[in-house]
Amino acid sequence: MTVLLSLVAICCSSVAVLLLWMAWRRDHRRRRLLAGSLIAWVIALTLWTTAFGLEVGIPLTLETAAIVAFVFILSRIEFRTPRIVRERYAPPVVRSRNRWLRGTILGVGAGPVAFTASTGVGVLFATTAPLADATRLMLAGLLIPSLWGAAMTLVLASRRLLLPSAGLLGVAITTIATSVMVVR
Amino acid sequence: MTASAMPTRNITRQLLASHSLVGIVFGALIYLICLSGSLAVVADEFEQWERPDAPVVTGAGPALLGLSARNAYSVAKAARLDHAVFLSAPTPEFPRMTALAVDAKGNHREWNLDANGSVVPRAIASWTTFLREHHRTLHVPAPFGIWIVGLIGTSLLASLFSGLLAHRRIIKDAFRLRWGGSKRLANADLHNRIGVWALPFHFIVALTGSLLGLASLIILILAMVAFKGDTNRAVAAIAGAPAIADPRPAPFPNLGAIVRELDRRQPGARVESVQLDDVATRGQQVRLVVAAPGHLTRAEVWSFDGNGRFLGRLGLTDGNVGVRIYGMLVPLHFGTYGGIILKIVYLVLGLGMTTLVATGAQILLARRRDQGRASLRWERVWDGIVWGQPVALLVAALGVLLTAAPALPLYWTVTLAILIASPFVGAIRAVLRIVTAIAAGTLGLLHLAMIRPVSDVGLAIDTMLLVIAAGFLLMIGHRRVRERLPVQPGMAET
Repeated sequence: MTVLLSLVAICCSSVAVLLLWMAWRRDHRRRRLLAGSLIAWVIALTLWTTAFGLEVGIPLTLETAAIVAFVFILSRIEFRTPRIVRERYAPPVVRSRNRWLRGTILGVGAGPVAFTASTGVGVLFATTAPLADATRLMLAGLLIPSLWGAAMTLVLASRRLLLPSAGLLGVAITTIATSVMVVR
Repeated sequence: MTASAMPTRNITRQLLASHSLVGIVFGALIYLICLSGSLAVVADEFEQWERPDAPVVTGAGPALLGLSARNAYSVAKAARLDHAVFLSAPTPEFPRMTALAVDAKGNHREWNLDANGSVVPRAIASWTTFLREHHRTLHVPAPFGIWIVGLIGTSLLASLFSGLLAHRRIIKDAFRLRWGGSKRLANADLHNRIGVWALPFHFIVALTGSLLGLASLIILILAMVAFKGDTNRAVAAIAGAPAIADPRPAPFPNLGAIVRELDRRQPGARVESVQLDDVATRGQQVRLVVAAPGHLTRAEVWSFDGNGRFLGRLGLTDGNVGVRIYGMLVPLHFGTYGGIILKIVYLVLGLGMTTLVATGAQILLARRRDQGRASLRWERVWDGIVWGQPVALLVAALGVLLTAAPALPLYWTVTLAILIASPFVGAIRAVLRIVTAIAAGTLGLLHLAMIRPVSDVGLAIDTMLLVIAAGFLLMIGHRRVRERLPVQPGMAET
């Protein structure tokens, strides 16, 4: 029974991808196709959860959808004629020292600054959230790497180094100070 | 993404710069972790392939578990490693029974157990152990190794955020994969399609990996403030209270009776592992890890005291959100919650993630080339890293198979040799592909010829190695034929 449900679920995912592709090709029935694709995916999710339970069914739906979509894309690969690469030479670029300095500061500084801020938010959550001990800890534990990654992106993508760094340090100081006061 | 929600070109450029910077700084390390992690998903299968001579145990009832635990404890006591004993029961995917004994200082030793419950020397799978450690710590001593891997996971998360936000044609190109023309375009299409369609998988694996790596550091920091420095309370909140020490002697627990009690409370329960803490003392505790089908955590932990009295469940399947998330981390990261089919899905998606990292740097290098700032040496070095890793892993496996040499020095010797040589070898990619084909084919054939008994898993992996070898040879042959084709009139030059 589980195998049958899984096979039907994979078929539904395939139909969903096919309908999405048809909508993507700017077919005039775009909205209907998108709705159909969504319905097919909901059916796939229902089948996976029926076969394996909700907890396992959700990731299975996402993972099989990724594989089905990629197999579909591979089946529609556009082969192009090989091209002869002609060597091109750009005039030598004069790199200022500032650029290297900036790159080094960014590379070295973004991680710790982002870590401090994300840890501050995580600690504040773990201290103040009205949840069970384990829940506060685990959610704070998940928050820290997620915010760390996002904050690193923010600093690295910023033209001005000082502004985001100062902002993140401000977040860190505020959150950690608040947490310490709450605990006391 | 709608036009109004789309970041401006300037912001996109800055996000791309951020994406590139993370790739340049961490790219090679992310690649090593992704490749070893993809393979580590099937580490149990590799262990059976490497050591098919280890005793096969297909099932363990209460009587066998009780006998095995008692025998394992006797051996552990003789080795003065009797603080805690862990017994892994056989599962359908890994029909082996192992025991791990630990002393109070953390020193440990492992053994195998046969179908009669007798303790036999551990069938050490050197290459598989190397692979697991490579992914877990990059062989850097504790605790720094696991922290570095956690940091790499976080940088992968940052890369996912910046890559997603910088992708302006996320819908426009959602189904396009152009191949064979411009190298940059082909790599960019492959990179973006894998990155977008498998994004939930990448995000989950990067986040769980980051947390698993940095858990000890994060818990320490959180406990410092939120639990006033009481790390034990923080750990107990998640993993359950440890046994209360009472060193007065007590009889060894009747594990058979405990398993029968478990079966009475949950008929048909399958024990996956047994943990005996403070064994043969009055404070001893028995923890049974019981399979929980239909749950991401894969298992529930049942605790009993030394007299077999039920103490409680950890709550991995029905406890509070925090404990349930804790139980999900490892299965979500390694794909251990859905049998061998799901492991294969994880392997494929993991290799997709590895390709994502490999093509990322190739796009940067191709862009430099298109701008007339080709960096030939760096292109070769990156090819050396990408195509050198399969060679290094295969040569390490060959060394273990042929000479029982340790895998780690072999791996690093090959990796460093390739890295040093790569800037000076023009066709480094082609050379490494040929070497990969030869190494994979040789390993598959030698394993088939030398290692007995031949198991289903072993046969499947050997066949896969031969398929990989044939695939690489075909790829090389196809490329050579294509390179000899005359240039057609009107063919664009770039």
